[in-house]
Amino acid sequence: MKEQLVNDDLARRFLLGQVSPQEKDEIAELAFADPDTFSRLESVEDDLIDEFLQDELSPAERENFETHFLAQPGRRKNLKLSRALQHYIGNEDIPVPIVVPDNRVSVLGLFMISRPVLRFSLVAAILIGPVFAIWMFVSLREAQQPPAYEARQEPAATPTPEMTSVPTAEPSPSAAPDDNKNRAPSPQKHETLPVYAVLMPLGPTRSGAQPLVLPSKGANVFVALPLFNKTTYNSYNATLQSDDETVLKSWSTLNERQLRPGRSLLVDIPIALLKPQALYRITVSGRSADGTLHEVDRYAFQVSNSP
Amino acid sequence: MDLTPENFTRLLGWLDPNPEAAGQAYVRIRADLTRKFTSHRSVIPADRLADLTIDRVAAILTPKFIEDWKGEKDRYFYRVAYYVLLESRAHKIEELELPPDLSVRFLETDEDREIERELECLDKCVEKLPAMKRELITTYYRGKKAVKIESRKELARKLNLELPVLRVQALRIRKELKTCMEQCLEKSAGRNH
Repeated sequence: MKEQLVNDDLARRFLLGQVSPQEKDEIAELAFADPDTFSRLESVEDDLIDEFLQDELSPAERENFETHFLAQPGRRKNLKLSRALQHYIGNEDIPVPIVVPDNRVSVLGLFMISRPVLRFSLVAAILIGPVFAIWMFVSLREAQQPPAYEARQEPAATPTPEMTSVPTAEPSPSAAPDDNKNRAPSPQKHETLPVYAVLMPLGPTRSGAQPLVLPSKGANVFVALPLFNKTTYNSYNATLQSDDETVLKSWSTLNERQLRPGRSLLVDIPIALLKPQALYRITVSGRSADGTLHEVDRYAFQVSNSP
Repeated sequence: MDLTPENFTRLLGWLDPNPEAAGQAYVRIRADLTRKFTSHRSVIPADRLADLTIDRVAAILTPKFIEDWKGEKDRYFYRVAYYVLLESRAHKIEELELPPDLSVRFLETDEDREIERELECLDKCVEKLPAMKRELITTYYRGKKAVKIESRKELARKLNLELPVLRVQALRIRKELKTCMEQCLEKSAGRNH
């Protein structure tokens, strides 16, 4: 077993609770009997925390990290040290995932969503949904070119005519408020929550950055990126860059969805990545069947203060 | 978790039906656990951890557990000891939790204030490190994904170390920082009281 334990993969699976009960017992015994093995586990533990903070864990690993790994003694304290280290070293742009405190797990567990950021977003959206809907409506009426916050609508089993209609290259600004008014999320309808902002792509009629107002609650802002390309791709990649072209976040294998603006991609941007008044750009590329990437559109926005 | 006379009697009975042999087994296991805990350099005295492990095992023993048990009994103590060791690692900082009423003194949220204090302490602790260790730890944790991996490889080359050795070095420095931070936070909490 010791030879196997030198393998980081097994140590990783052990720490994430992905081993059989027998393996678990054997590794625990060995880790106590052999300080080198214990030390190795600590190194892998350190790597896992690092990856969690940098949002590099797979969804399954993340789930196990939150439910199993952090439940072990001392792990939350180590997470705090790592988080402080990341800040100190200058990786401030990393998203700082919300770790659900022990005493809140049961409440949030009501929502069958694995990622805590999404759980928080959902809870926040449900709590502030009605207020936010009114604010969205008002701000949409006031703004000439707002990045309209929309209610998230999962694709319907039977698409409505509205959803299947082909969007114009530049939707009429006057149409958006009325359209949105009819879609104001109702607190009773969970499928209309949470909200997302819509960014229109840069193009012949739009060259400036659109204001993006961050929600006052939640860790992420959801942004819909309407697609006006005629070519459809197997999947899409998107990259968020700051004004100095630093890559802040990348999304891979995004799929088209039928959202309110029509064919769109939906991305979640950790608010921790965004600084007030700063300019950002999202570049979307489509992956064709042969695997090659083709730039599809660019979307620019400037972070505005909350109203 | 105290060791009750009933639990202790049951434990000895499980170790060996012969009382004299059970006593010897108990002494041997306790000495072994103490030696092992010592080798892990826990901040809590090794014999205290050994006793805690034995108490835990004794509390777990039920007639059904004893009846179903197969295998080496020593190994079961090791298994429990691993988790005791993990707890001991966290124990010192657990004592540093701030009292709930402290929050009224802060303008920021508890979390903001806590992060601020952590960063202040970390700043001090990193400054205390020798230049080489400071460079190692800051470079080791810098960057993300491919950049991070490349940065670590480059650092290993620069220090003429194998990557696994570099990782152990980083872990040791991290432990130093952790100890330093615990002390710093303890002082900071004392000042705020």
